[in-house]
Amino acid sequence: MNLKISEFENLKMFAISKREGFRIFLFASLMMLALFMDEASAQAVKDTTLHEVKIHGKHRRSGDVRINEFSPGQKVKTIDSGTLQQYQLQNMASLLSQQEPVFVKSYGFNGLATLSFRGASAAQSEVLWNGVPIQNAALGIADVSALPVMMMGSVGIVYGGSGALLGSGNVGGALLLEDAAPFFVKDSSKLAVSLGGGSYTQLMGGLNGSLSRGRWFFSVCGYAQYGIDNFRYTTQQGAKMLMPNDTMHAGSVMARAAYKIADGNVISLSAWYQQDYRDIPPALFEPYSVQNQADLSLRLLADWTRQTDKNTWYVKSSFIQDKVDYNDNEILLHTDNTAYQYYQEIGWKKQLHQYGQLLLFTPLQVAWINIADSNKTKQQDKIALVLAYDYKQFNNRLDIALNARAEKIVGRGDTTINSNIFLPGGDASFVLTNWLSVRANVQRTYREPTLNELYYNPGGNSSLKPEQGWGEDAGYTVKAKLNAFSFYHDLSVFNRDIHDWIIWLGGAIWTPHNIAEVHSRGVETENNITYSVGKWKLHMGLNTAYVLSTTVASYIYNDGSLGKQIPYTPRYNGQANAGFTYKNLSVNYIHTYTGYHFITTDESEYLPPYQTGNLQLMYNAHVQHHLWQLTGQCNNIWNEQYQVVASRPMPGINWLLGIKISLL
Amino acid sequence: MGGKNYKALIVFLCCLVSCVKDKPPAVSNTLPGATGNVYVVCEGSYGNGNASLYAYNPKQDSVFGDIYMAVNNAKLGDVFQSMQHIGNKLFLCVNNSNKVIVLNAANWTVAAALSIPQPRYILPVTNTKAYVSTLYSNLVYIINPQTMQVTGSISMPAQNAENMCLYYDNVFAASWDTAGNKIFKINTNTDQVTNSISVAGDAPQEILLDKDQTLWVLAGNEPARAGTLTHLDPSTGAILRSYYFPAAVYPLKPVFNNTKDTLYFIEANYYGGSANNGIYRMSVYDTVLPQTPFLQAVQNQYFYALGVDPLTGYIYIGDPKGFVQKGSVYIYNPQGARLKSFEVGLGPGHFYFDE
Repeated sequence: MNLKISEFENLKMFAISKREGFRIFLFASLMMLALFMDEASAQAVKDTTLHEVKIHGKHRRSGDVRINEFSPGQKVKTIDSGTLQQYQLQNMASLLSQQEPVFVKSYGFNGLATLSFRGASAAQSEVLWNGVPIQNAALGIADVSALPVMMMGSVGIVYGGSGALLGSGNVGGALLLEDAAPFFVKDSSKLAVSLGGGSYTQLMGGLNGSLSRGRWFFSVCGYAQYGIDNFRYTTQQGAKMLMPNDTMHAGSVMARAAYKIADGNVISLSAWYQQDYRDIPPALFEPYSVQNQADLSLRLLADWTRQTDKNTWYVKSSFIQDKVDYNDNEILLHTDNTAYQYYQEIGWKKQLHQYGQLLLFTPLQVAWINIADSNKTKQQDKIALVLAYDYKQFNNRLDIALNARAEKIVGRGDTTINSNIFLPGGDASFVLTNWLSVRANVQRTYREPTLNELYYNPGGNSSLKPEQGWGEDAGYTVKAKLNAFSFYHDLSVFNRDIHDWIIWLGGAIWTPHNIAEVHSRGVETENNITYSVGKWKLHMGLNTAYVLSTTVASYIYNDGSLGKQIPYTPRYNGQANAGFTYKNLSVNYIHTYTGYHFITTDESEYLPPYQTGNLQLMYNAHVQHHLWQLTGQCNNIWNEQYQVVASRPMPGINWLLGIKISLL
Repeated sequence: MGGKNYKALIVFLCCLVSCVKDKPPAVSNTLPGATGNVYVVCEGSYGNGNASLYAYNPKQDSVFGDIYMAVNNAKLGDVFQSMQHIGNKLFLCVNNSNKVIVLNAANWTVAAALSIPQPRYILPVTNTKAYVSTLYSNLVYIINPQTMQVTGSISMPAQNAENMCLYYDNVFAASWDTAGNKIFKINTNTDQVTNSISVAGDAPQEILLDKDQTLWVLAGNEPARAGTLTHLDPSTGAILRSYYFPAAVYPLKPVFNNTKDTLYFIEANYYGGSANNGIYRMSVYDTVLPQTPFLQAVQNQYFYALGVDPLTGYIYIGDPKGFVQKGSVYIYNPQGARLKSFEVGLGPGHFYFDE
């Protein structure tokens, strides 16, 4: 049957209106519920009868108040401290690819790696450091391979967009990084030294120290890494070769000073400097490579927080400079791009009454770059006013939050951008029983094209339209304990529609274009069982993600991508783990699976699935009042030959041994 | 929550997302006959190593590809720029893989692979000599097509030797260098640059000979250098006429029709608009550039390959569709009626008529 265009359009509009209707219904329902519950709470306050109550508090999900207290319906995962210790000498790319069902697009061992949450692009996935976005201000992406785990005290993952709270640009999810929070005691000193080494001449070392003296707190963390990374790989002709041009070295230092003005009144200054150099090894189609890249990042953050009984005020102010220097002498290409970002946020949180609290904050983000081969500066400014209201009822079993952001975006470049956007969001969670809780959230998403997408020379497209859409997700968590067994099961389903999705197209010169509409949906599960007996603790786990992210409509003539999966978005992704802890020894085996992922939009070319096995050991010992922590890791134990990015081979079996000694 | 609710929840979740089979369907490649083919040079998407060789056989009215993969069970490489039939061999310039692959023309098996940095075009000069132009250097390599070896090189006065044209005992070579506006004359007996001719604009790229044995040179590299077309007499170096494209117009891939009296070229709008976007044509005697396209590209489409069948005069057009999916080839007759379309590999960039 052939449909006339008008009929097709009508069907499409009907489908869209149904989806819009659902969103409006969901959002309105949450609002009605909040209003209704406000009334209910007023009545409840009148009931003066004392009852025995059981507080259903939530564990702290993040140090970011926006996530911790105003996103009850959002799936947030915090990596536990034991896992962070296991990966202390590695980078975020290794940690996330082995521990979480997100797709880490890695261009090789120690190569550029970007995140993809729930089928979103790297530019739609945010990385925050102490609440400040740290993606390269021009590219809109963060290289998670350049972020050492050791530098962070806490790592969290927000699954799904949260545009109202975390800002426009947050579409797929966010990686939350926080360094260790300052603490104030009379006299405390901590110092730990870490050393490690492994395959391919990998050498790394780190230092972590803090000092607290009354009102003052100081901390410093340094990390250095060197590697030749000349692993053996298989060429397209089947020959075994050692990877050439693969030397890397990196250094990172972070320092923080904090002063307690009074109880609940703290001011802190942080500085994070990072310098990476890496040779870029040849792709499988290249006989050799003389490419290299040097990255330099400087991140400064000043933070003031004042807490009283019912009020919290805070101010954050940060400056970030990211420099990327790329060289390829073969093709006489030398680029040296520096992007700058100033970010400031002023916020106020108010406990309104027993059940409700309010958050009001105003973020300001100014990003600018100097375009190569010209003296022109391109700039993008975002200023917003955000209001969030959180309401808890039924002994904290019900938690509802409504969020709204009004944002103005002004761009100055070849074209002037002046957008006023409104991003609403609604969240709710409900603890049904002691072992079952449910949650849901709906968010409007919006992403203005980045400075690079608009103005990069050559290839930037100043006529790009912003990405806009809605995302919804819902899920439940089952937590139960039966004798020596503990069960944890979490399931999330999500749905997201993005109009004018941005994709880079082109031959020698790549140019970003808008795809008319991309529909992403899927299911994620997290499952754990632990069994404790005596000094033994056995555990098994399984994380899975099933993601469909397909082109629904396109502006391209005769487009073969309609109905097809977005490139570099595996449909299936998961990790299984099993291990035990006995006294001070822990052993863990992680098996990862990443399904077929396409490298073209019409699914005509793809990379096959791959599996990696990874064995981890950690042993803690007290030697002469010092804690010694020994870690060992054997990655890709089955020596799988695989590629995450086309023609960029990943290493086979490789080892890493580390020791951390707490001197103070 | 009762048992019924659990079941309803499970059914709901199952309905919400029905799983898709992960493994893509297998593709079977068949091979054409060894003669009578129009080869489609598919660049692939830069940096992904997915170039491919396709062929359309007009007599069989069939499309074949990826031929190289089907025969040699290997990927061709990254950015397949051009090809040339010399003797009983096919020479394939795979630009970003730094190699010229030599295939036996009878069965497409690999006969040799020459290591040449960034090869662009091959011009047969004699039975034992061919020139290979290269990007990002000032060298034109000399190869022996019979022994399949590099025998020497010519140092050019400018970078980025690009297209070349044989004119009696001389080769005219364009140097796609934004710092210069010259084409260079190479004596094929001495392999030395003997002269240069300035053309209307910087960055000469394409060079062709018409029915009157006069040269047409397309220059430019937008947005840095506006496009120009220069018509000149190679025997004297005199410029017969200069044509200037407006700024922000991207002319590329000029070809002559089978009688070499009409010049066809592409104007590509890479940013999605329909202005200056399509196939244009002009008589060699026209005094101005054509203002309206002979074949208009639609919005968010641009053409990247262009060829005219020397036997039929049919016009072959390649649509790369963003270089992120299979490209399309459209065949038109000289009156502008579409005769056929078919899918090829990623980024169709050139046609080679080996009929």
